[in-house]
Amino acid sequence: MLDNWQFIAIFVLFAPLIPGAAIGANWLLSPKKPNRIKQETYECGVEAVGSSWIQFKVQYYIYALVFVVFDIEAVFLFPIAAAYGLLGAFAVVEIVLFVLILVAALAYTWGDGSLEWV
Amino acid sequence: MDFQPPIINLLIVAPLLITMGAGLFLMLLNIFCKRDGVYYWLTLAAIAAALVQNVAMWGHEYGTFIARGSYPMVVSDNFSVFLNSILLLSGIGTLLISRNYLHRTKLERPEFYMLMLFSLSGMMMMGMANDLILVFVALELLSIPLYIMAGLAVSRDDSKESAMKYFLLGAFSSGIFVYGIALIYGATGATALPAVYAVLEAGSPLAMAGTAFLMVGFAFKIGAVPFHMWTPDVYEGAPTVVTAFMSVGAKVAGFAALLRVFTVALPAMSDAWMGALALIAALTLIIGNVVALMQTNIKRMLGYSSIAHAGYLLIGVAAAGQHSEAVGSVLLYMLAYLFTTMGAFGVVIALEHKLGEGIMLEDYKGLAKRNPWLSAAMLVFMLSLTGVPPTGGFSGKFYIFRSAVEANLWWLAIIAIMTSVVSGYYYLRVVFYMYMFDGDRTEPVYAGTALKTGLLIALVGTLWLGFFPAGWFELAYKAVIGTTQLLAGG
Amino acid sequence: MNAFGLAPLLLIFPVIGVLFNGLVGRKFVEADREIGEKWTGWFGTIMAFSAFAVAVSLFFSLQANGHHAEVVHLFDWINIPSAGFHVPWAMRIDTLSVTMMLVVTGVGSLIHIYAIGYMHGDKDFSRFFAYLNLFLFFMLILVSGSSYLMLFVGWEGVGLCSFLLIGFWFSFVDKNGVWKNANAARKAFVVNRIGDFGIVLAVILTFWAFGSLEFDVVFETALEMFKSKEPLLLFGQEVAFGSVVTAITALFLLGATGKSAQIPLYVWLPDAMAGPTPVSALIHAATMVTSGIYLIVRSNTLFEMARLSVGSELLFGVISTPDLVALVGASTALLAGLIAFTQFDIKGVLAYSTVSQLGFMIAAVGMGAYVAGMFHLMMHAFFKALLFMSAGSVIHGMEHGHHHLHDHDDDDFDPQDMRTMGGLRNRMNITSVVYIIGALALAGIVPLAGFWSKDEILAHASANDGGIFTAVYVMLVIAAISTAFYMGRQLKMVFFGEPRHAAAAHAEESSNLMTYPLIALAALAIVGGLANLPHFAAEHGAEAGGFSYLALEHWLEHSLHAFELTEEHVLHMPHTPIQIQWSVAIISTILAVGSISLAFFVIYKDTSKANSAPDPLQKTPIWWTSVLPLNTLYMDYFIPAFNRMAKWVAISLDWVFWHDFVHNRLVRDMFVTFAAFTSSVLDQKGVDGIVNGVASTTRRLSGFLRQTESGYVRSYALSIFMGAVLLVIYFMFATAG
Repeated sequence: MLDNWQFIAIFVLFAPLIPGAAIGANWLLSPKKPNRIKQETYECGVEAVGSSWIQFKVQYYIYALVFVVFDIEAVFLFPIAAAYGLLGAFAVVEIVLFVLILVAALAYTWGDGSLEWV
Repeated sequence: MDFQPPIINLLIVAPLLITMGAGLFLMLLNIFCKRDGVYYWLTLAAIAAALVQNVAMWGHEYGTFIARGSYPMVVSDNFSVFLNSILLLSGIGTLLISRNYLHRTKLERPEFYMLMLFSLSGMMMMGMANDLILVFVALELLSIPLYIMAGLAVSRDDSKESAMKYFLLGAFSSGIFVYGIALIYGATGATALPAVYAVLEAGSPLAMAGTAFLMVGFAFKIGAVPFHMWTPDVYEGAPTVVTAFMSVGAKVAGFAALLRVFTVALPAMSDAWMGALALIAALTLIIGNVVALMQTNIKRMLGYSSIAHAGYLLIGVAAAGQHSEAVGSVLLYMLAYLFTTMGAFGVVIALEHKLGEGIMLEDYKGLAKRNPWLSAAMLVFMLSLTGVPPTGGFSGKFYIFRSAVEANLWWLAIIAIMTSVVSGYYYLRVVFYMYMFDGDRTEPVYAGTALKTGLLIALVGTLWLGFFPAGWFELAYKAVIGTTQLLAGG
Repeated sequence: MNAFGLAPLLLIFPVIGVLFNGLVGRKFVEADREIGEKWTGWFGTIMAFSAFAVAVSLFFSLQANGHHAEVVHLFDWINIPSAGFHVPWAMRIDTLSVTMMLVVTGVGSLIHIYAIGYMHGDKDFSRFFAYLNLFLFFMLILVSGSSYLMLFVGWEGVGLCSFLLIGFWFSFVDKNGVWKNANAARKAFVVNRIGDFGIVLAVILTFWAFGSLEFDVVFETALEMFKSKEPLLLFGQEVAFGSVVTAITALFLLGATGKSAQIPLYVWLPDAMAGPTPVSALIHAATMVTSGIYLIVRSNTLFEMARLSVGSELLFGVISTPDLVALVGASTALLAGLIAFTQFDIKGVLAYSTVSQLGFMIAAVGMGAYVAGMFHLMMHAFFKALLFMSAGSVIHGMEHGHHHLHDHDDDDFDPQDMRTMGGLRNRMNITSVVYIIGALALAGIVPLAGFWSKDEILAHASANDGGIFTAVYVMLVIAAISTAFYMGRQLKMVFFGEPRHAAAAHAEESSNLMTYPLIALAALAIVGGLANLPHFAAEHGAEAGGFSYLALEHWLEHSLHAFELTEEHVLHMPHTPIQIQWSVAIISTILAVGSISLAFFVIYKDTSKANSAPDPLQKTPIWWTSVLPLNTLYMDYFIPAFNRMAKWVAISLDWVFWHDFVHNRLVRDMFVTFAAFTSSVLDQKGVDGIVNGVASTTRRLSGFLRQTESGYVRSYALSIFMGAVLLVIYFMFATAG
């Protein structure tokens, strides 16, 4: 029986190695010529100003959440659309219900006034 | 390959659909209607309708969402009907005791009712889910609304703190739970409970680790030691109605899924999990009861007490690995716990004159004189929680202890008896404060019609179970023997 | 004709009383004090009387029925069909339970009447009667239940009522600022919990061993097992039958020591006298405290088997549980009897006297003299209820007397202190007469009730050979002598001599409502002995002039299984003397009379309250000291020695050892410390500490968690994590093993 536990032990040992190896290889292989701009948090040309520990408006999160919900909705819509010919009416009913539930949520958010930027 | 849609019978999940649909409806209604009373009555009606539909399914065994050549995702049997009834009753109880409270604490918002309905759907799904994936979905569906509900009193820091704690720790334990599902899947290649049962062999290490992680997830939900530490903090910080709902609903739902998953899917390893659950039960009983002794805040005390009661219930679950009658005693105990805890929280709510005030033991001084009815009711509830005959708490304990003995867990039974002797000290302390002190409190006692109705139902239920438990046990036992799958595990 | 169908009414009447008084009684009293009190008080009393009437009808039904026990099934309670396990709510009507019912409801009704007078003007008048009726209800469940589970229901219920009633005047604070009543209630509760624990374990053990809790089934199964001498299978192990029975009976004994206030759990009863006097009379003298004796008598089959089982001797060396019961009872009787000497509180003397008399009963049932124990239980119920209520009447009178004084200069006047009394027989005629009757009955003077019952116990102790019986006999005789002595002392201090306080000089007789029940009880205390009059000659079962001797014995033997077993010669009962032991009777009478007289002579004129270190034995001019040179001997040797002994017993044994050391230190403090420790150390510091310790060593691992979360959530999460790890480890070992 313990053979199987050994597999787990091996798994535990090796699992961290793979990401570790990737990061390590990166560290080993990459040329190191740091300068101030490269050390910036966001290496995109825009200068970061001030601390990142400031209070954000909570509406950012609400927007983000609503966005993620509809993002995921899209993820479900695509495969259904692709396999529509195979699935038939059943899929349509399912996905319409799914979308309607999400619409209800959107309506709630809207009615609640959460989408108004204040 | 030709696609065949799964077999779906929506009637079977009708109680779920009713509560969930009502929740969605309230969401939309929120746009147009801001009158509070409407939400209260609509929620009550929805839960009552769900209860009727639920009870109508008694005596049958259904499965639905059956993909071809596979097992049903959702089942409905006597077991789930019984549990769903408890859950729906806890919803009704919460509504009744919350009516006046929400109003006077300015917490009455439509969100409370929607979240409760959603959470209730999740709870019911816990007992009906026949697939580990669905168990997880149900777990999340029940938890996320509760996180928000715990933080409903946004004006108070302790409420926000409790919501945050509950959320973080809940997410953490959910993660462990999912990992457990993954390991079980790794060991068996299945997530449907009967499929896991069919494939699983004893001693598979992957499945062992998976079982342990599943246990962590459930133990967190039911507040068993050492996964209990969130309970007192959250119970204390959350608005009292939410605490009441949580302490009954979430716990019962956790046990529902625990029972079904472990007895249906994992009987092959019953020796191992029986032992682990028995150990957890012993720890839970000791820590829960002993720490409760020193509490001066009623809500915190009831928090530890609910930990302790999880311990008693766990005894039954541990014994369920040996014989299926134990499941019946767990169900009976839950019923008694429902009435007693709802009642006790009802009294707490009546005395909480301002949000978070009037919940110390001191505030119960002289209650017997200020309001003899309320204190008499509290007396019965405290006796029932202690397990003094003839109350529901005694009947529940009696059956649980008996099944522990039948399962040869006599050492656990002795610990349980000793700790329940100890528990008398802190429960009866409330009685002591009510009856043996002159109070100087002048704050009004808020016992409106709805709360009185709720307390009366709780009182009648507690005493009814105390005097006539036999019929209820027969019912609970039918809930088990009517469920062939549970028996197959037993 | 039989009236067994009426049995449920026995329980229903008190419940009606509870509902009426508890729910609407208060309104009546608030609306109109006079009429309201009349209504609520008499309603409760009538309910008690109705229950008594039912008990009487059951008595006659049993007579007509040939004394066959009848089980009246009310409804199902706990039912497990698959295991064939049934515990119904059922009442067992047999001669034993009817005897108890008659005592409980009879004495209870009289006390109800008395309470109408005693509680007059109390602000919680109706609450008091609700509690009293509730107590009757649970006490009747206790004695009428047909199974150990029902008995346990009653047992817990009367405990609750006792708790509520001791603390009835909870707001009372004594001059040291101590919540005397509330503390006494709490103490009674805590101590009784220990006893209850024994009962719970015993009941469960009974169920495991015999598969049932119904009295009939348990005893019959036990007898089968006893005959077959085969070991039992418990917890997968073979256990000798004797050991099981010994364990069960020992646990019953633990329960009995709690409820019936025996060593080592007697400490709560003297404190419990802080409750209202009717409560002391009903619950803490006549009925509830005797439930331990009832339990043992009910389980006599088990006790007799424990006496004879070989296995039982393995557990305690040479002492079987019944012998232990007898020893516990006798030593309690002796100890409490000696402590009673030193009490100045009029109810304090009676409280220790109750403990002592309960010791007599326990000793009797331990020796196998079940009928004698029950007999003494009944007689004690009569005269001790009488004494307590008369004491209440005295206290009332003293309070009235104190009110009449115009100068309330001594505010710490204690109406219960016997040192302030004296000469009350001139002021309170009825009370003093009934008190003297009660005291003489308790002291065991012919032909009052106490003589017959106590004598029967002593006869049992003397008639049976064996070391333990001899020891019990000696202890009981000394206890009996001291009983007579402290009652003589009390009579002298309260009713004779000159008033030692102005309040005593102005004391008034109590109202009729209080005195009539006293007269009724006094009558019972006089003629009660007829219930079980022994033979004066050797013929067995003879009747003289239509009057049957040993009526109680013949009545009760229908319920005592052990007697039936004797006929089968399976169990040998200890010898039951059916003929009066003249020697014992004469000696005990002489001793009782002598020691009362001694008390009268010794306690001459007691020092008044002003003396801060009062000594009832000082300044005792005794007539013979003037003629004989005994004065020096007496004053220099006997009095100091006696004082020292009495004080030593009172202070070191009772107070310092039991109250302070065992109860306060060991039980309470350890419990509190343990609870505080587990709460603060184990849960908060301990688990957090361990968790934090782990956290510090695994700082790098938990660094992420630390940065993103704050507060204690990290500890909680780590606790969950560690729990998960431990579970996995457990499962690994479970698989490997």
